[in-house]
Amino acid sequence: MKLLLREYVAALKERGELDAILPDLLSELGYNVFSFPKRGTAQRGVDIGAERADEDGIRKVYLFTLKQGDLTRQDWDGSPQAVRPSLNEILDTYIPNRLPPHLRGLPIMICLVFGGNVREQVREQLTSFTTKHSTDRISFVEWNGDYLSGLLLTGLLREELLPASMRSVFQKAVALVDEPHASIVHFRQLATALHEAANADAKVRVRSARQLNICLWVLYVWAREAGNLEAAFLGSEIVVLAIWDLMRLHIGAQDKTAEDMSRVVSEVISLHITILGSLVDEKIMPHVAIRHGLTSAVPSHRAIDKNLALFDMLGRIALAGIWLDWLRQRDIDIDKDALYQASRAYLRGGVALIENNPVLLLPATDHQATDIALFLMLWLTSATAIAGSQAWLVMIVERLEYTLHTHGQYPCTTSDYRDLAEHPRHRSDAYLEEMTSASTLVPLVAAWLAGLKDQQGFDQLAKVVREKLQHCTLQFWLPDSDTDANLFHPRKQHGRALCGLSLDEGANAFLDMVKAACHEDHGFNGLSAMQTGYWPILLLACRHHRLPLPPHLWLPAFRERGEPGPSEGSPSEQPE
Amino acid sequence: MDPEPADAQWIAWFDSGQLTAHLKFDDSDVAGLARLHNEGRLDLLSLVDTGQVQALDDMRFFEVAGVLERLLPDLEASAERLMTVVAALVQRGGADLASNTPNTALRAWFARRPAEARRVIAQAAQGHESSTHHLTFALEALEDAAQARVLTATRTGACRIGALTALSRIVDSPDGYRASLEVLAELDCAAEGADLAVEQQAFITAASIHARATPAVAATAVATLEALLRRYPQSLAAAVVYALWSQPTLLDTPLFPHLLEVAATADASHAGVVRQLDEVARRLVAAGRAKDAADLVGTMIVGSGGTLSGRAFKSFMHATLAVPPNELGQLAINWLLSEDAALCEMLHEMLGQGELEGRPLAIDADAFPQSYEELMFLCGKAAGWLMFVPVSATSVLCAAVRATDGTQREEIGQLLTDLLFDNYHCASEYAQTLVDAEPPWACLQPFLETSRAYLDRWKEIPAIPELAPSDEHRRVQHLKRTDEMREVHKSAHEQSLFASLFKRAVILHGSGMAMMLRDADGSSRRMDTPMGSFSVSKEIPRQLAIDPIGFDLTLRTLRVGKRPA
Repeated sequence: MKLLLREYVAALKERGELDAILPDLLSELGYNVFSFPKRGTAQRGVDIGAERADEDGIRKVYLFTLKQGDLTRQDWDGSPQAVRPSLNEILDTYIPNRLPPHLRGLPIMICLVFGGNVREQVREQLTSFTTKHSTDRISFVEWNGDYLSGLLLTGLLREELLPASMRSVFQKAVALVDEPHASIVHFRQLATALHEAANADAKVRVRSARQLNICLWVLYVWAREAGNLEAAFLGSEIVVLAIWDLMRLHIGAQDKTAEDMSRVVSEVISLHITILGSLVDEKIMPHVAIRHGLTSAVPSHRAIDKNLALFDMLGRIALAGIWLDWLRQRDIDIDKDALYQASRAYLRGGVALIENNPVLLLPATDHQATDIALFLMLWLTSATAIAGSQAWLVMIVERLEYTLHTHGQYPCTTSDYRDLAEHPRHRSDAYLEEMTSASTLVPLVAAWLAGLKDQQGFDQLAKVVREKLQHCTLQFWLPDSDTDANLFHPRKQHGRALCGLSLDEGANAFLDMVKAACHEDHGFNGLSAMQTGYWPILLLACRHHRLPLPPHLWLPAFRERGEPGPSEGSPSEQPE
Repeated sequence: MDPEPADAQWIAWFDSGQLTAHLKFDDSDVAGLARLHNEGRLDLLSLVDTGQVQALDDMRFFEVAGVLERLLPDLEASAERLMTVVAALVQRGGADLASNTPNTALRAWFARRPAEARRVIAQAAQGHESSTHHLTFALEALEDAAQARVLTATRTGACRIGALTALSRIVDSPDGYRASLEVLAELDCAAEGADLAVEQQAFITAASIHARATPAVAATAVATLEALLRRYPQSLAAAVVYALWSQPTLLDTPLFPHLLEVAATADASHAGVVRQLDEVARRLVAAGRAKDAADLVGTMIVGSGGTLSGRAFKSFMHATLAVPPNELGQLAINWLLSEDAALCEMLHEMLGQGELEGRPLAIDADAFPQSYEELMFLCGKAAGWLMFVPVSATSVLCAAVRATDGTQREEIGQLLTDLLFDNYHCASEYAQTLVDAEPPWACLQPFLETSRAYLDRWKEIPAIPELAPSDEHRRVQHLKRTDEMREVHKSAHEQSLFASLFKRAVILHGSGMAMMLRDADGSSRRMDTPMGSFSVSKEIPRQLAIDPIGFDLTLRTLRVGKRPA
């Protein structure tokens, strides 16, 4: 376990990674962190500031300066951001001027934190420096990778908090990052155990959340080294949902637990966005413009595997863009223009993915309606590009019609892979009826065509339903009072299916009926993610658990006059 | 060879009921057995009367029946008894091609006993059932065409049919043939009611006379055939098919187009009729009349309403593949332009015979339609119907590219690139061999390069493990593949000729087989047979995985597309 953690620590980058986990680790070890890592502001050499009463009972100030990996000659004094200049800044500027007043006068420990070790060629210089500048008040200490992994083992991940059985599960999850679906089975087991322990006891909630965060970090870094981020991505979804399920119990509270939980939630969301962004930016986006490129990149000769993989990716691209749009709307100090450009890039990338990979013109199974809805939501944020979504929806309708009439590969109700692999088993009406017994895809497409005022497209879909899908239960999924307790960490079925949908009365009547049903529904607004403004977590939950997106999320965008674009209360931002 | 048994041994075997176990076809003491039978010391015919012969397994039955048939002409017995024995042997022979050989023996018996033959004929004329059944052989033995004509003209039912059949076989003088044709021409089948057999046999008889007669008589035969066709337009299809099959001379008569028309209306559900038509078509192809053959087969397939496919015409397909390449190419164009799905499917089937990727076609520029719209229509059909024999499809489109220029060439080239080069490595490889071989094919190079550029871009993408299916999904696909291969293996075994002829042995381990063989002298020796493995592979179009729905839609659109007005 320690080896695993040491390798992890050594691989951490300085900015956004090493400085992201250290505050939680310090808090868990009893340090009071008074200065957190910031970007863009002068920190005068100090990455993290904390204070604590030591083993001898004396309160001390700890000033941490961080360096990724091993300390080399270059890292020691090779640039203005190197360690020696940082130490000089701490001594010359930070200690005299920046210490909080209530901590001035306390002994100071300057901690040099390295993800790895100190290289021998630098050892003498470092020792000379620390010897020269040590005083009665100021001391120096080194925390290398080995020490940090030890801290993790004796801190957040100590035996009492993470029993041997859980450590074993965690090690398996990390060891199997090359086999993501096996890895995630173990990781989910770990997350469930930590979540259940925290759920039962409020006192351990923050710690469990931090543990989940750390474990996710370890998983991510190992997955990054292995070149396969799949386990890390799925793990990040699990962790976000588990932590949110703990967090929602503290919504509205003003105590320290709520504050700490909120911080962990932000960190985990940030990590999730980082992982998702890495996956999409490095693996998918560079190739979206190649005709059939990503389809051919799916390592399988079976069309079903390509279909499943690409719709999944489309949903992830959408979520990546939606998260950035959400961040942009928040009142935080962040480069909003960069976020905007990145989100547009995801939209353009997703559109290119659809244009160049015709498997995305018809899903294989109904639950892929979630991925379609996610991308339509991202598409909706661009009023100038939204017309393109119409063409996509119309092609979906055309292919749906074609495959139903020819008993080809129409979308099935089932998501069982064995059924999908054999589909269509028979080219008979009886088999078709069985496989299309219910649909969330058809009403989703119908509602969007109606909302985009594509009467012809809507009528064509209505005709398909009349001719071939009379038996099919068209439905939307609406949250109910049980949803919040089960959406993020499901224990039982929840929500309501809005049925009795008919396309025969025309587009406006259909849309009006859905709007009325949503208006009378109170389950949606009662969701913690909606109340707190963290609505992308709802999208993440739906994507992860393969639930349809509630229509409340995108319906408000269809104004009465037919102009596509968000209206007040919509999660999406204003159009360009 | 065993020494021939003495008479006492034959009798001993007969008495003990073991005679059938010792009758061998290559036994030279045939006369001895016949002599013993005629002396009354044993009764060969009782072997059939008692069912001993019929009870033998198929291989032994035909061997013993063969012995009896050799002996039969020399046996002394009543005609009635002989006819009963012969009928029993024919019935036991069933659908085997050798089942009718006992009738030949009966004919030989009648030939040696003219009086008996006459008696049987007289009995048949009076309606005696067994005699009527064997009337043909009695008349043939006596070569009595006149009597056959009388019976044809005056009798009905089985007796008339027997007489008609004899007329079709008896070699006669030209005047005799003319007289027979007159009888046929005046034949009134109304009295037969719904029994088509008489009409059909009359036609077959006239056809066989045509085959044997002098040219002058042959012309009369043609007129008779025509008259019969006019009189019984609905009921002669099967007879026409049989006649075409059994009398190749009909292929060269002016009546042939009419015969083809009638033949094409034959009942396609009858396997024998289809086999005969297949042979007729093969002969037409061999005679350099592939178009006639194609018309016949095509009409049959189209007229069958989907019950008949090209697979039923294996001999025709095989023969057609041997015609000169340009002729095959022209045939392909004709069928593709016909808009008939059954013909196009047969073309696909034919071109895939023996060459999994399809046989390349040689098409001259002047074989293509003149109008561009028709040419594009043809190219679409070629791509649509011949997609799964890609080299064949590619050869058509490559020839079309070469035959055009400018924007027409670009459009056809685009079709070639998108549907064939982008889908199949073998299609590009084939086209490249053309380019490398002859300068006029250089026009294909830009299209090959476009396709290569498209495929090369895929190589820019590194492995993306995040896109890989899970272990569970891979396992499901593996199991599915295993099941499919098992079914293919089973199906191949069921269709295998070898599997039905030989006993199957399954080897679990080892790269060869060893068996001990026993020689005639009783010694044994070891025979070692090393075994090898064989495999078959066929490219499948890339689009089947990349965009199966779009691919299916494209093929369907190309196949059902209508000819431009």
